[in-house]
Amino acid sequence: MRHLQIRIGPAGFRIGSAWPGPLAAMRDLYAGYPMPQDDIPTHTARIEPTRFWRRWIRPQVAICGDHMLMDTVPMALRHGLLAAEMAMNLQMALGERRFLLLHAAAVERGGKALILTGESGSGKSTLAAMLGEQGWRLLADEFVLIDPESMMLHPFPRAVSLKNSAIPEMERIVADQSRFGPLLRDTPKGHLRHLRPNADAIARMDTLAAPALILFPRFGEAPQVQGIGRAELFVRLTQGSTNYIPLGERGYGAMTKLMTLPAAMFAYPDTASGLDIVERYCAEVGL
Amino acid sequence: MTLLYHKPSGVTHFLASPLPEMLALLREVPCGADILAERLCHRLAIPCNDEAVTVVTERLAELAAIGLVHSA
Repeated sequence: MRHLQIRIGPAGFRIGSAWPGPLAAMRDLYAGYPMPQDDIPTHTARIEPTRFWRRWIRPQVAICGDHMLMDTVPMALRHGLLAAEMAMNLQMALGERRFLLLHAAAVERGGKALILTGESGSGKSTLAAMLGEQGWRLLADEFVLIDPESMMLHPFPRAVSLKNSAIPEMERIVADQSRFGPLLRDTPKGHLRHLRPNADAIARMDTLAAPALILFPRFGEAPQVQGIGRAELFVRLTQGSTNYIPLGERGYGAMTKLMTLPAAMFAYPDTASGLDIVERYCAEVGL
Repeated sequence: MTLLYHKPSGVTHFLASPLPEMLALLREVPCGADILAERLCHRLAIPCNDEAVTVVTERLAELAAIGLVHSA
């Protein structure tokens, strides 16, 4: 098994693969990322064959690591990069105990963080990736890490997972094509292409930000903005957190503090109008 | 809506009225369902009747089932 080690914010990964291809793609995608602190990874992720002959004969990729989920559906080797990313996700989701995890993306401006959260397909990754190219610093995609004691957001600027129509949108505005991973066609989430955050986001991955605003975008509908009650905010944030329950009282304390932040939901038909709504909300709260 | 974190189980509860008021009264002075119904109605300024006692009895049983109160 071959290995790659990288650090993304506070998480040090050791990624193992039975095949050279996915690891080479990971190396390209994460070019310029530092090594784990003191060379000691905090999470180990692996992709390996479901049976030993599946390494060569109709290869099937199983998602493994320190923490495993039963009944994870194996993937085709041509989607090996996605499998490796999912293996990293799994380790964060099940193994991370230092931070409260939110299923969200986040960007920063002036030291304050905007958290974009919502279900898969809500457009949070696309909006965060766009903002990350327009004067904001990309802090995170997929997982937002909150320190339950200080309530500061620790950047976790891993590659952004662009899906379907978001791929050509970002290809148009990102000049450096080497930041894109290979186009993965017909994955369970449609076409998918990873985008490495820009150099500033990677260089400042240890610069924390204070959460200031939580927005719930909803892509594909007529523009509409609405408030969100505290009870609904709590339920939505806890539903989207993979480690709220294992964190126990620390998680509860952090979540109740997050509930005091300004928050809203909005629907938008396209990225341009979504960005416009985001900027208006940010102006309201001085972000 | 009141949020409550139950340390022994690690479960977060959402409590709607009158459950937070009932827990507050029991914290002041523990008592049974009949007296609790009287105290609750007095606090909420509503008449205390059989229906109120039934509601309080049932809610107390629910609170006991999830470990938030226990009978002495």
